[in-house]
Amino acid sequence: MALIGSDATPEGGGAAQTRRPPPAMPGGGAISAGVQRRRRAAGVAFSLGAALALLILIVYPLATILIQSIIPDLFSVPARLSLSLEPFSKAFGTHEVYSAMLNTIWLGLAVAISGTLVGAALAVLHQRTDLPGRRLFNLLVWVNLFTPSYLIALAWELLFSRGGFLDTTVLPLPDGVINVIFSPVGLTVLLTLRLFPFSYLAVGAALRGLGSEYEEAARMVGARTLRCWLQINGRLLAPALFAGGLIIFAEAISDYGTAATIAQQTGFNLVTYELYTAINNAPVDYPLAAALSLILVAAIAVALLAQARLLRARSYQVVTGRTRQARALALGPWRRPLFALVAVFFIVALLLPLVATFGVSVMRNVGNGLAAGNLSWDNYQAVLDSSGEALPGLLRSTWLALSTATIAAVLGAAVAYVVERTRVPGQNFLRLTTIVTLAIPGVVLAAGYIFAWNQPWMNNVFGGTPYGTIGLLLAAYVAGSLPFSARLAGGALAQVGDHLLEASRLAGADTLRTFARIVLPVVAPALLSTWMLVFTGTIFELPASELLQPPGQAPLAVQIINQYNNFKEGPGTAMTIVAVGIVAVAALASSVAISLLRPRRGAMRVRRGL
Amino acid sequence: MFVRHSRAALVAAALAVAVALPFRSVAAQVQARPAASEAITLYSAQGYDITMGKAFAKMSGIQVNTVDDSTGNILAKIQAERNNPKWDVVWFDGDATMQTLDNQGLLHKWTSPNIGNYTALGKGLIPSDHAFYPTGVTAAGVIVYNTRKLTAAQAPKDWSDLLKPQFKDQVAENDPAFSGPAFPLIAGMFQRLGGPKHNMAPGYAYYTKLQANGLKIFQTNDPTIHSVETGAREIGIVQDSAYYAAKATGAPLGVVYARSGVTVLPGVIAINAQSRHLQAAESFVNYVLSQAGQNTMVHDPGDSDSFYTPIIKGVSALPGRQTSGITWQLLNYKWAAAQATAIKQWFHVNVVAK
Repeated sequence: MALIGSDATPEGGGAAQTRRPPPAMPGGGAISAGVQRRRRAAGVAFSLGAALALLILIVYPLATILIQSIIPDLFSVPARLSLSLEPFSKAFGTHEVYSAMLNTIWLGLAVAISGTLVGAALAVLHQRTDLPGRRLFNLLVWVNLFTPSYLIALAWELLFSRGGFLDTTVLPLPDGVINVIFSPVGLTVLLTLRLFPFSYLAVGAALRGLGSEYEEAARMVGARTLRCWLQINGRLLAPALFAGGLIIFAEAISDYGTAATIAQQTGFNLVTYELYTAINNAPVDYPLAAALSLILVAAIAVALLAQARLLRARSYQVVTGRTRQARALALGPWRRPLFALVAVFFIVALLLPLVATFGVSVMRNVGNGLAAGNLSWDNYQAVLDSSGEALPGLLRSTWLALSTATIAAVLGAAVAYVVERTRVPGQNFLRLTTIVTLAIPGVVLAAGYIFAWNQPWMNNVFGGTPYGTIGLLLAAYVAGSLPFSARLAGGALAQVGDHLLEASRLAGADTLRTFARIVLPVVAPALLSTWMLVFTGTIFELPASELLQPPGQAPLAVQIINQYNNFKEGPGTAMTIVAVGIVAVAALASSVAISLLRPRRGAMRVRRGL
Repeated sequence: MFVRHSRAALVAAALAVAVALPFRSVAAQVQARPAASEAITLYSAQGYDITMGKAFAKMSGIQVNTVDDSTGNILAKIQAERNNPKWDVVWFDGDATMQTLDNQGLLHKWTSPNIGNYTALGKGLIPSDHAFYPTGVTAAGVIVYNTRKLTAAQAPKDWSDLLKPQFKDQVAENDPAFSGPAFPLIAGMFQRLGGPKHNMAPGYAYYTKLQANGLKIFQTNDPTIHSVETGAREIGIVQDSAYYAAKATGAPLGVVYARSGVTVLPGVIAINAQSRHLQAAESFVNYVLSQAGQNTMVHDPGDSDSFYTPIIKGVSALPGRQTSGITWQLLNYKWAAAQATAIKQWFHVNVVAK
């Protein structure tokens, strides 16, 4: 036990506090008071910038919608400022809402636990063992992220329903199998398959910074491999595990796309369903939607408190400037069974849905199966036809995703830095904002954007409102991605030793410079992973795309879902496959970049000596 | 050291390009737009909306910027924009839904000069306050069956047949919380069974029995019809335009227009009462209600929504669409709009989530 405490860090007890204040400049004689002041001002300005970005992008739009839960007529015509609890009494007025709340919490917990474990196990297998094919598996995790949830749900229906693909062409499925797939258990599995990459990314980033020295120290005193992993690395990875788990929990309780299809078929009522009913049915009831969103916020608040309690007062800083290369673990006789297990996992999670999607995209009609006369490339021709709507949509979404990913990755790292490593007023507010946003379904934030950025007074001031412009769509994309990027960067950042930062400060670097020259390079791999994640998420993002699309300039995701809605599965699946191809190219580029940027043996030392 | 710097420079350059891209692209779009021509914004859930906008622009010189989305999202947008609306024209299926917008006072009341173009069926669908206009009709729900599982003789002929034991666990329909045509279908069933006084009890009884007979609820037309195509269910109740679109791709499907009547689901179009382009918006609606506009609408290639029954004189439906032998039943949409929340809530608790 003594090995994992902060006392065991090579630098001694200095890192005992997880977040310690920037030390007063010792020997300040070398630096003039003016320079110090300027540096502090730069630090405050940096934090203020991050805070301002969050205020504009997230806090203000969310506030405009959530406040309607207590001031329901705030944006009515004419507006009324009177307080009312009616939205809450409506929200809690039915029996269904209580079962929906319970179901939502259970589902969130089940998916968070299973997703975290699966993601962590795969990350360890990929980075620390000699498992055959682990590079390919790494790539497959990315591909998993590319596949939009509505598509996986659709594919599952295609595959597993009575009379579906497996039932008719492979072997008749027993009732039991179908009942399990379309049940809360199947829902948990489906969401786990979809959300485990968040844990994989968080743990993977943490493992990159975690050398083998603690493990080896444990081994020297006689601990066995498994024990080393569970007791030493397992605990050191706790922040990453919780970061991943929290995202998965938040995503699971606010997920609409996947859950709706299957949950709705099983009568497994969820809060998101109630929310959808409030927003997408005439008469639309935003105050009720706001009240329901606050239920989800309450759920994530409880999860956050639990996390804070579990992680309190312990240091997880492992990137110290002396981190050594990690040792690969030989799996021995376990190689083959583990390989088979991982392979089956990816076949179910990925290959089947993708094959089903591709299959539909080359079929004239799904019901007629894989007969020769039923196959054609017509759908692809239609998609890539330059006179159509699809190609401009594809290009539009591609550059929107490129911009969103870049802005969100950098801004996320900046927010994480302010939250984890500085002591400016309001950092807790920043932290809370990013997390609470995770628990709010995208459609609510998107609707908030309309209320926030379509105010009549803006017409007089700016000669128009930001709502309806492509710039606001971009802002909404960034807002939706910031929580992820900040959390993932935060996980990587929690490992960076304070001494590294102190050394930088002692050498005369200010906050900005420390961020750019020390923090950024260390978290760069995590940042690039985040970039990729956001890129993919944006290409397939639906709620903001639907509610905030500029008239006449529909993003790709909207076009895809419109194809499905208009019974044109063929073009819809073809568009999806083309988009997956674009994401695959971006993934390849970013994985090359990651391997270029990965801190290598000795590189840390150079940075320390800055 | 040099390697590290050049790498950093590379990353910086990539970042700069990625951030700069949208602005360049926005600039290009702004330039591409013709200067000073009038433009209207259309919110629509119709498959042929973009084609119609382009055809109208070509004819009139008025640009149509279309948001093509589901009816639910269009309603969500309109509601959120209430204090500063951005739309000029709205177009989707369902007069009961449009009536809720009319009830809120959002719609422009006017008389189109093309009102004389309507057939008898169409005339009956025009609201007395002229707040919106029907643009074509489909059946909210027809009985669709898998021709590999059932012959035409074996297929059910009327709604009551669906309660028979031979169709136990074989019928699927849509969830009114997700599917636009599902609510008019259900409301129409309540209206047909409840008689002129809109007695609700027979409707509740029918759906309770249908649920007990193993009714399966899918979200929308698409998965419902898909379950019938693949044979997972033998029978589905879907909007008829969805059936014709699936049939056109070669799906093994047959259709039955229930003997006791099918509920008319009109496509409806309306203008924003606060529109700053009233004239342009009116001329777009007039175009939709003209023969020329309707011919474009019917012949939008490959669009499933085009399989509607025209209600403008002199326009014929796409070949393949059944036009005779249909007992159309008009929905009392004002009653339906008033009952919407109650019926949907009941259906969700007692049928969907049971």
